[in-house]
Amino acid sequence: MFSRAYKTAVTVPPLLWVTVFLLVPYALLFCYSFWTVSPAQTIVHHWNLGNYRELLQVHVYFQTLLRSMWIAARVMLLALLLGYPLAYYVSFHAGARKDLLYQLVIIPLWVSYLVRAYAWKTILGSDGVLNTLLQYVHLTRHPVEFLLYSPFAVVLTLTHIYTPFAFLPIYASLEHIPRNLVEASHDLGASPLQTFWRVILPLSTPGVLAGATFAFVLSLGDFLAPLLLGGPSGIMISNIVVSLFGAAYNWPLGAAISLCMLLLVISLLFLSERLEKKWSFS
Amino acid sequence: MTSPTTQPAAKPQLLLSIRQVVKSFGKLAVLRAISLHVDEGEFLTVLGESGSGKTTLLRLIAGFERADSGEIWMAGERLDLLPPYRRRVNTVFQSYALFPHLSVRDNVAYGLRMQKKIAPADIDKRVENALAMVKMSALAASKPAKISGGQQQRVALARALVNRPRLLLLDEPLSALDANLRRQMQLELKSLQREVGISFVFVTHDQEEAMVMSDRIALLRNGNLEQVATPREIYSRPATSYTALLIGHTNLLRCHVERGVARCGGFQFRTSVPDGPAVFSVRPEHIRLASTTLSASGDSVHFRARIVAQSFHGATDLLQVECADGLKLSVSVPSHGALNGQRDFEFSAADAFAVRDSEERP
Amino acid sequence: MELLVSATTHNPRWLGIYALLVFAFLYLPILVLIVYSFNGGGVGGFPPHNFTFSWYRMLLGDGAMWESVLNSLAVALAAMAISLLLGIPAALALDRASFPGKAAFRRLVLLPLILPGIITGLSLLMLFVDMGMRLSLLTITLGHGTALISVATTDIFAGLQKLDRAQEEASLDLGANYWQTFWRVTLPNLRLPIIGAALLIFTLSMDEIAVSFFLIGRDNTLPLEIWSRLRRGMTPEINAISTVIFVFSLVAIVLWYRLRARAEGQPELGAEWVETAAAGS
Repeated sequence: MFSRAYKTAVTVPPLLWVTVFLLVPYALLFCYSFWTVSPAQTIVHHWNLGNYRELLQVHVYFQTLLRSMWIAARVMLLALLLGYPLAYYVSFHAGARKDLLYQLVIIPLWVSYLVRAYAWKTILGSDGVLNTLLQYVHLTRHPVEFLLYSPFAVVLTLTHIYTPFAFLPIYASLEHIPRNLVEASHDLGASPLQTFWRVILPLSTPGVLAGATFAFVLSLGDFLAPLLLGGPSGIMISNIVVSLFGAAYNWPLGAAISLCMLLLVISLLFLSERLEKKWSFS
Repeated sequence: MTSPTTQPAAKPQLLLSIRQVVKSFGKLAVLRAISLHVDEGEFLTVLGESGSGKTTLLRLIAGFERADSGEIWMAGERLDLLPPYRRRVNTVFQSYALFPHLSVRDNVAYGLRMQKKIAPADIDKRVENALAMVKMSALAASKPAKISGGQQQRVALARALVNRPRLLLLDEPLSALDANLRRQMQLELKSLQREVGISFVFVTHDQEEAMVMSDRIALLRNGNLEQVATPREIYSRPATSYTALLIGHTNLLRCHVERGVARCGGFQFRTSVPDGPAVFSVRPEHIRLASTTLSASGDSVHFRARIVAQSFHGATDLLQVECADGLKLSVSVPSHGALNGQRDFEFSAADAFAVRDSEERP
Repeated sequence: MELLVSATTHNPRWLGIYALLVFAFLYLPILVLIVYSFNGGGVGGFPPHNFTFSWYRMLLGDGAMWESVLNSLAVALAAMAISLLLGIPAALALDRASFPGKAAFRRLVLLPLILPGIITGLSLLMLFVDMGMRLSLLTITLGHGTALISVATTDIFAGLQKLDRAQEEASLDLGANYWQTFWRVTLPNLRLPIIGAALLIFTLSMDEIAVSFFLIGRDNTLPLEIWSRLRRGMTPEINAISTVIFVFSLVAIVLWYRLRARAEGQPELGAEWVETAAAGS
C-alpha cells in the first residue's frame, strides 16, 4: 500500500536514531569491557580479557551478584503474591468498581520512584514513623534497627515499587480469559476453587511470567533503592558498577559487569518470552 | 417436524418445573413471570428473537443467574437454590467455551474428574464412548484451537453429555455453522437426543430449526410466553398474529365480523368467531390459483389479483399479489414458470384461522 | 443480544480483604509522606503534631528547586518532541512496512523499556564521552528521548491497530495521495493516542532518575535535585515537594486514563501497557 518514499521516510529516521543512540552505545559497552584503565586514569585501548578474569577470580563481584539475584527473587515472589490476588479480585470480583480500582492500582506506578523510595526511608528509620509508632503504642522500647539500611529495606521498597508492574500483565491476561470458560467449568461441576486451579491459573500463566520477569529484571538492575536504603549490607551489583564509574574510576571493569548484566537480562527476557509463547493458548 | 413416539403414549413424566420466574437487569425487565415445564425425554425448544429473554431463561436453569422471584424445581427438589456446579444440568454454550489449554479428551473428561466417585478407568471409558458418539475419536489429542467450528461444537456436546445430566441445555449451538452443516447437525442432534433419552432444552431464534427438531416449542416474546405447543399446533393454530407471522409465512387479514360473516376489504366468508374486529391468518400455501370447477360458496373465497412479483423457491413459487383494493398478499404455488397479469385465486374459509392481535410484528 | 452478566455467584470475603490490604500497602507510604509534609515536628516521629504550611512556604522560596523544575520542564518537553517525532514513524513502520531486520528493530526500540536504567544510562554516557560531548541538560534530553521512544511507539502502534484501514483506502480511492491521506485521515485518527503518549512521556521524563543519574552535567533536573538533597539528609521540605509531585502525577494519570477510555471505548488496557509502564523507573 505504500510508496517507497513513504516507507523510507517512515523507517529511516527512527532507525538512524536507534542505531546512534542504542546500538553504538551497546557496542561501546562491549568494547570498553575488553580495555583497561591505566594508573594515570586514562583508558587504555588494549584488547584483553583482564576484566573478565577479574570478575571470575575476585569473589566480591560474584557474591554481590548472587545477593542481588536473591534480593530480586524475593521482590519477584512478593510482587506476585501481592499482585496476583489483587489482579484476580479486580478482574473477577470488582463489579461496577473495576475501573476505579484499576486506576487506583496504576496511580502509584506513575508517582515518582524517588518519592516512593523516600517515603519508605522516612518510615523505616530509627527515628522514622514506624519505629516511633511502635514505641508510642509501647510495642517496643527501642528502635528496631534492621528496618533501614538492610536488604530487608531494599526488598520492601522494591516490592512496593514493582507490585503494580507485576499486576499489569497478570491483569491483562486474566481479562483475556473468556468468562464463559468460567461458567462452563461451573456447569461441569467444578467449584470456584477448582475452577481457579484448573482453568484460570493455567490460562493466566503468560501474564504471571511477564510480571515475574519485569519484577526480577528491574530489581536486579536497581541501584537507587540500595543507595538510599540498603546500607553496607544491602549493596547490589549495580552499586558496584556505579562506583566503578564514579569514585573507583574503572570504566572498563564497570563496562564488563554491565555487559554481563545486559546479557543476563536479555537471556532472561528471551527465555520468558519463549515460555510465554509456549504456554499461551489463545 | 417430529411425529409422536411409536410406543403407546405413556404419560410424560415431569422433569423440570419453572414457576412464575421473574428476572430483570436493573430497570430492564427480561422475564416476566414465566411458567414452563419440561418432561422427561422431550426436546423442548425455546424460540424467540433477540431480546426475548430466551438466553436468560436458559442461564437461570443452568444457574448462572438468579431469578428475582419464582422457583425452579427439578425431580422434586428446588433447583434454583443450588449453585451451577451442583445441578445435574449441563450446558452446550453458543461459543462452545472449550478450555483452550486442555486437549479434546481432557475437555470431555473435565466434568467427570470433578465427580470424586468415578474411577479413572471408568472415566477413560466413558470419555471414549462420548467421543465415539460425536465422531471425534480421531482428534481426541488435539487442542481446541486446531479443530474446526463444527468439530468444536461436537466436542462441546460430548463434554456436556458424558456427565449424564438429567437435562441438557443448548444455547444456539448451531448459529455459528454454515447452512449445510447446520441442517446436518439439526438431524444429528435430534437423533442423538432420541438415542440418549435425555431432555434437551434448545434455544434458538431460527423458527425453521425449532420446527425441525422439537417435540414442543415455547415461544418467548419480550419476556412473556406467547405460546407453548407442538410444532404442528403452533403452525396450524398460531395463538396470535405475532406467532403466525414468526412461524412460516402468513397473510394477516384484518376483518370485521358481523353475524357470523367476516368481511375484510373485498373478501367475505363465514366464521364462528364472535362479532367485532378480528384478525385471520391465511398461509400462502392455502391460497391457490383458482380452478374453473370450484364455484364461490360461503366456504371458499375467490378473488382476482395482479401478480406483482414472483420468486423461485425450488419446488414452489412465492407470488406477491395485489388485490383491487390495494391489499397485498403472499401466495405459494407449485412451481409454474413465469406468471403475470391478473389472475384468479381462491382459498377456503376453513384455512382462515383467527388469531389474537398482537401489537407487535416480529 | 448482549449478555447482561450479573454479579458472580460467589464472593469470597477474604479476597476482598486481601485486596484492601494490598491497596493499603501501596498507598500508606505516600499518605504518610503527605501527612508529614504538614508536620511541624519534621520528617519522622509519631504522632504527627503541629500542623503547618511552613515547609511549603520554604519550598516556594527555594530557588534551586525551582530552577531544577524549570530544567525538568525543558527536558520533558524536548524529550516529548523527540519521542513523538521518532515514535510515530517507528510505529507506522512497524505497523505497515516490511523490511529486513524488522523484528530486530522492534526489539531494539522496545529494549530501553525493559532494561534497568543503569545500562541505558551508562552506555549513553560512554557514547557522549567518546564523542567529546560535555554532560548537560542536552545529554539528559537525548537520554530521555531515546529511552522514551518506546513509549511513544507502543502507544501509537496500539492506536494504529485500532484504526480502520478502510478509511485510508477510501481516501486513496477518492484521489488523495499517501501524504495527504496521512495528514487528513491517519493523523487525526491518532489524535487521542498521541496526546496520551505525550502526557505519559512528559510525566515519565519529569520523574526520570536512573538514566539521568549518569548523564547529568552542571544543571539538575528535579529528581536529581531532590536526590542531592537527600544525600545531605532528610528534610520535610522534601516531603512537601513529594506531595506536590504526587498531586501532579495523580492529575496526569486521571487525564491519561480518561483519554485512553475515550480512545478505545473501554478502559481495558492490553499488553502494551506492560511495556509502557515498565519505563517508570
